[in-house]
Parts: sequence; C-alpha cells; structure tokens
Amino acid sequence: MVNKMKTIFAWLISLMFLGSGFAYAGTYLDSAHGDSVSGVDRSAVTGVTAHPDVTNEYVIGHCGHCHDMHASIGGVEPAPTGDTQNIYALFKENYGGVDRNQLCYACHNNLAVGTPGNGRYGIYQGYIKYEASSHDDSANFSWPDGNPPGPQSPDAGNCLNCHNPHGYDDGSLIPSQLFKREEDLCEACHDGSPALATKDIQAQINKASAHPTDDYSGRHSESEDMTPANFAYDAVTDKRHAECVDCHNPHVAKTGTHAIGTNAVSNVLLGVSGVSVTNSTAWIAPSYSTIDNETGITKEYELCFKCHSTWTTQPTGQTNIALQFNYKNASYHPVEADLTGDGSTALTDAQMGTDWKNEGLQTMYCSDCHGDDASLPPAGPHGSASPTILKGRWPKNSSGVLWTLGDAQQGYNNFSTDCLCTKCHPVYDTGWKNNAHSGNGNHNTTYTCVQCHVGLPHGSAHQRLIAYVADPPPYDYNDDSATLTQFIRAATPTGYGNSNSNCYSAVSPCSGSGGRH
Amino acid sequence: MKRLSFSIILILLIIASSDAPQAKVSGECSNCHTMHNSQAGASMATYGGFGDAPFSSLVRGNCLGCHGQDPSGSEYVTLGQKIPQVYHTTGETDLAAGNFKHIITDDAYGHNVDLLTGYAEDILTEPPGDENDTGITTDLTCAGTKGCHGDRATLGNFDSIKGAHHAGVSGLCNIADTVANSYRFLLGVKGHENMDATYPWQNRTAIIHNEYYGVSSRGSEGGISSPGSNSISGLCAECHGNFHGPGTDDITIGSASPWLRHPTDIVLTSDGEYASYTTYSTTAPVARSTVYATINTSTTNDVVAPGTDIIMCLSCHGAHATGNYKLMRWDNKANMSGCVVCHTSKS
Repeated sequence: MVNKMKTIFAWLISLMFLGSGFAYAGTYLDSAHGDSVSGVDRSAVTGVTAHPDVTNEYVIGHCGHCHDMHASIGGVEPAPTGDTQNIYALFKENYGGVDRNQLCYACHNNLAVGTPGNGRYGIYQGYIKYEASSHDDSANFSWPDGNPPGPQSPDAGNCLNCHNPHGYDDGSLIPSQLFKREEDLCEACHDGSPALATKDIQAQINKASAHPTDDYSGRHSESEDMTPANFAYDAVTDKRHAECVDCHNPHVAKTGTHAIGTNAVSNVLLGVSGVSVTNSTAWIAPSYSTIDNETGITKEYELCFKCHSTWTTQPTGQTNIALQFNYKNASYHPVEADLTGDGSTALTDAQMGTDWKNEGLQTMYCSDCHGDDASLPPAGPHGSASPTILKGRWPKNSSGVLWTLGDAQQGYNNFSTDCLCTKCHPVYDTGWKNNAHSGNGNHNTTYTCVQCHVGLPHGSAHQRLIAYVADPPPYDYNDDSATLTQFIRAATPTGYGNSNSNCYSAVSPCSGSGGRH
Repeated sequence: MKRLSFSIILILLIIASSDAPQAKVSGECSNCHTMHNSQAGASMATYGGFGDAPFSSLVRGNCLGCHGQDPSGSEYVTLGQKIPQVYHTTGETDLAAGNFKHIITDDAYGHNVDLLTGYAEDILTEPPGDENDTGITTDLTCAGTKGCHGDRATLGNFDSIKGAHHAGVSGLCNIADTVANSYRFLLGVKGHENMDATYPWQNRTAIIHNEYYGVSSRGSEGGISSPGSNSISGLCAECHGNFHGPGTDDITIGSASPWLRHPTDIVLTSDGEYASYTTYSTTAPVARSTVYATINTSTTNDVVAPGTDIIMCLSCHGAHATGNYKLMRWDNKANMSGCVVCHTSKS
C-alpha cells in the first residue's frame, strides 16, 4: 500500500513538472516555416552568414533560424551578419527602403527556373520578378484590415502584407501562410477601399454574371496546376473553381491590360499557367499542352482554355472553346490566330470598327468581349450585369428579347451601344454593311440575329458564324432559332442575292423561292 | 514526567530546527572553521577538494568546497544544517540556479567559475554583451568583482561575502542593502528565496519555487557592481549589459516592440499570445513587480498575471549551469518548448 502511494505520488509530481512546462505553440509549428522536416533552416541558405551556432545546431523549423535573441552569437556582436541589430531580433534587415524583404529574400531567392526549394514555388518566381511587379511597386500595397491585424511594422510592398511568417489560424491553418483564405485576401484591398488598390474587383464579382471567385472554398490547391482533374467538374467531387490566383500571379503581375489588335498576354496575367493547343482539323478538339506558371502563358486564351476546354472535364452544358476558336474552322473570331489561316476569311475594313481596320491581320482577346458591361476599369472578365460576363448584350437585349434586324436598322433597344457585336462590327450605320442582312429588302425587321448566326459566336463549322438548323445548341440558339440549311459566303459584302444562291433554307419564311437566296 | 516530556519535545525541536534550511549558518563553529588548519599534526582536510587550504576567514573550504563538497552526492549536504549543493552528480534534481556538473559535459552549458578546476572558460574571451567592460576573461569567480555573489565592488570570493553567512536573511529579501539581506547573497538583488522544508532552493513546481523580482520598462541602467532597479535581470546586466537597459539605450535593445533584442525586465503583456500564459512554468518562469511576502502557496505563486508579471533573463536561462547549451532552461537546439510557454501562438 505504501509503495502504491509512493508510485502515485511520483506520478503526480511528474505531471506537475510536465504541466508547468507544456504549452501549445499554436499555428507556427504546423506552418511551412515551423515544420520540423521542411521548415526554416538558415544553414541551408547560401549567401547568408551561417554562424556555427546556427549551422546544424537548431533543429529545422526553430525560431533561431530567423531570430537571434540577443543579436549576439558566440560573443560576436552585433548581429551575425555584421550589420546593426534588426527589429524583431531578425538576423537580417527586412523593413523599409532597400532593406525591404531582405530577410525573406535570404531564403526565397532561388532564381533558377524550375528548381523549387529555397522558396521558389512556381507562383513565387524569385525576388527579381517580384520587385518588378505591381505589388512591390505600389505605395498602397499595405495590409489594410484589422481582422486579422496586419504586420506591426507597416511597409508597403513587404511580403508581410499578405504573408504571416508564423502562419495564421482562422480555425485551421491558412495555406501559404497568408492572412486570409483565397479571394478574401485579395478582396481586402481590391474592393474599392480608398487609398488601397485602385481597382474595385469586388464590385465586378458581385455582379449577376461573374467568375465564381466568391462561391467556393477549399477547391484551389497550391499544387493543382497542370493536373486537369484539379479543375474538373464532377457531380460528387466538383473541383470547378476560379480563385484570383487561378488567373493572376500576385508575385509577378504588373500594371497593364491588353492592347487592341493582339492576343499577347497582358501584364496583369504574367506568370500564370495555361493550356496551349495544336489544331489538326476544323471543328475538332485540338491536342493540348500544358504551360506551367514558371514558363507562363504568352497568349491570353491559354489561360481561359485551362477551364473552358476539354483539357479538363467541363460541366454539362459548357462547350469547348478551344474547338470553337480553332483557326482551321470555317469561321472563327481571331482569338487563337488571325484570319489568314486555313479557315475563315476576314471581313472588309469597311465592315469593321475603328480599332479593327487592319483587315484580317489582327488577333483579339477573350476579354475583348468578356468583361464588365459598365466599361469601367478594371478590365477583365471578373463580372458583368450581362449574361456570360459579356461587355454587351447577346443574343438578347436588356429586356430579354432577341436582337432583331429592326434593332440594328432603327437603333431600337439601344442596339448601337448595348449589342455586343457593335463594339467591333458596325452592322448598320447609313446602310447595311452587307446586303445579306437586308436580303435585298426582303428581310423582315423582325428577323432575329440568331435565325442566321450562331448563338455562341466563338466560331462555327460554317462560314461567317452561321448556324444551321441541324446544329445543336448553343450554336442553334435554344435549338429553335436557326433557319438555314446551307450557307455560302459571297465574294463581296454586297454580293448576296437571289441569283447567287448564298442562303438555303427549308424553314418558313426563308423557305420561299425554293429556299435558295 | 512532565519535565521528561518537555525535554524530549525541546530536543526534538532543536533537532528539527537545526535541519531547517536557512541562509544564516548555525551549528558548531568547527563545521565551517578551523583555527590553525591543523589537526593531529596534519593539515585539516578541506571540503570538496577545490583549492588548497588555508582559506581566508579561517574556513575549511572555498565556495565550491562547501557548496560542492560531495560531487558524487546529491543536492543537499547536511552539516549541522542543510547546505545547498550547486555541484553534485546524483540526487533528485538540480537546485534553482542549476548544477555546475553540466559544465563537465559542455563548456557552454554554464558559467565557468574558476574554482571548477580543469573546466575553465575556453570559448569566450569576455561576457557576451559586456557593456560595462568587466575585464572578465577566463577568471570568472563565484563572488566579488569578477563574480555574481557578494559585494561585486570587492575583489575575491571571501572578502566580498564576508559576514553574510552569519547574518543571512532567509526567505523574504526585499531590502537588499547588504549582502546578508539580499536575495541569495547577491548584493542589491531583491526576491523571495524558496526555503521550503522539503524542497528548499529549488524551483520545484508551479507552487514551490523562488520568487524573483523584476521591473517594467526595461529597468534602470545599473553599473558594473550594482544591479539596475534591484532586479535579478539587473544583476545579469552588470556583465551582460547590452542585453538589458532602459529606453535611452535604444541601440542595444530598443525602446518598445519591435525589439532589437529579446527584452528583459519587461511586462508580459495581457493581449495576444501572452494572455494564455497564466499558470507559472518552471520552464520559463516570470519575475514579479513586487516581492511576494508569501510564497509556496497555490492560487498565488502558481499564477502568472499577464499585464503585471515580468520577463527576466532567468525566464530563459539558468544561472549557474544547466544541461543545455548557453544555460538555456530547455534544450533550445532541439525544440522550442520554452519559447512557446510565452509565445503561445504566433498568429
């Protein structure tokens, strides 16, 4: 009995000792920096004074890899880098002017492309690119939000305006040691707040038609790129998502949107991954090649194809835009290539708007059509009041009624400003730009655009973005709009006429005159 | 019968009191002193075997001779009364300041006092952070101008501590104007010594431990022999001054967060991660802004009050020697178990 009591007493004493020394460390030990295997390790960083007390001394992830408690190691003072003491007892300066981010760069400086480690992770591509980016350059780039509190030492452009080097927990550890998750981080600034980011992207995302940036959480992962399944639709484990970083690389993006008449990637989309295509035959899905974010897309459409093509599994009802923009198609908008290719031929300069006079030689962006209907900055397909994030209305006007020839001719329903097509195609000004629309006076003004044209004007298996009765939706809009069974473009814009047999239809009223016009 | 009972009780009391831990020595003079350093025609055996007799003040051993007199023994030796042993290789636990035995393991585990023969300092050429230019190299002593205990304006172990063992104040030391009434004979340092009957001189548990004195706002600037603000950290600063100092000393520590070095004699704030440190930890103990009159009681001494209690040098370091590199209270190379006592969450 006495021995048993002694044992119990000994255990109680032991517990008291343990209890006095144990405390949960919170997020840090779970974070990337604090990880005992892959965490911070100053001794592994080249170009940094590695005092013997640090080299191979502190376990990986230890506070001592960044913080020198007394700015003195082994009796050597001041800080081991030979510099003055740094705030937060850091071994290297990190704040203000030329010192900004120097501690971070000491590890996150690997400039070699394609070699992760030492803090190069694809989305972060070295300090040289970061220092050329908008976030580094902007005097407004400071964490604005009190929830959570930002860095104690505000310093515009500092990595610590987005990242907490100890990790942050909002119920669970936030990936990438960020202050907030996913779009919440970006929207803390990009919400029109005064004195912060000048572009109110939040307002666009809030519109009726928008990328689902705010809709999903936990689907994006840091390692998702180049794996189609990570963007795929599935009825059970749906991975479809569009976080800010799926399109923008915050460490690389610079100020500057696209230039009219090209399809070259714009500054805001630098450093992102995408999908390129090789077209073989008209109106057939291409073969795909992946572009990692280190390489970066060179064409805007390569970003869009990542989600909106059969490179991944698309939701039911979405079509393959890579097939539609195939430059071997009979007709296509020149997103992938100009109109000198195998398929379509260009409209004449007279049929085009001011910015599109270089007949057939210009390319365009997805975001020439897709973007904010208010035509205000920021540019980009964030959101619109118009369906499918269009800058204008198509195929219906703002009242939900299909556009008609009468709208074009008479200017009804704000056709010249609201109709998407008129942003590049002046269909009618003092007269029709081609006589196919007028039908040499035989076309009723009530005829809708989609009676002839595809409901989704990316491209068509037929010339001049024409839809056939036999085409499935969305090409035959609503599967009940198209009237033509065959179309042959005229040699000139005014060359359409009954005797030229350009249009064939068996659908009333176009079936008249033998259905050939 | 009554007289016999009274006598028995008196004897028992005497026995009990002679064993009770106290700073003031008691018992036979010859326990500590020798008049001629001669007995039976031979020199008196010295305690501990550290250094050669005769010693100043007619004592039978030097500091380690009495306080490390049985290196193979435990943390106490009883010679008329319990004597704390600061150098021992067996026993249940190390005393609050640590155990010089660890220096045998690694030079960097402790303060290499010169009495520890064969283990002189061979790495450092001066105390780290030696703001006051102490001149200490490899000749660190237990007491005196090149040590910690006693009067640090007086040279030598014996002269600097003379008289204190006879006049020693046990327990509450909140005056600290003599060596005898200073915490652990550290002239000028206030505190409350743990003289628990069972676990004296130990930081044993959250309840049974010394109570250290600290101040806020980084303390005042002491001198080479006077601890700033009478705090325990002020004592450390006499040699390691660059690691402690008031607001005017910005270039060494900083005046406020963000600090240039880890601050001491600074209040553990009551917000953020520090607010969770509420139970006293012997791994990372705190100092108090007032010297507690009563110690070793629960609901008082086991409570840490963020917003009031003080971070001190001894929150992270031992004093004599510990089993860890740089006298850390925990193995700071292998883990951060001490850091996280205060830094409960870095978020």
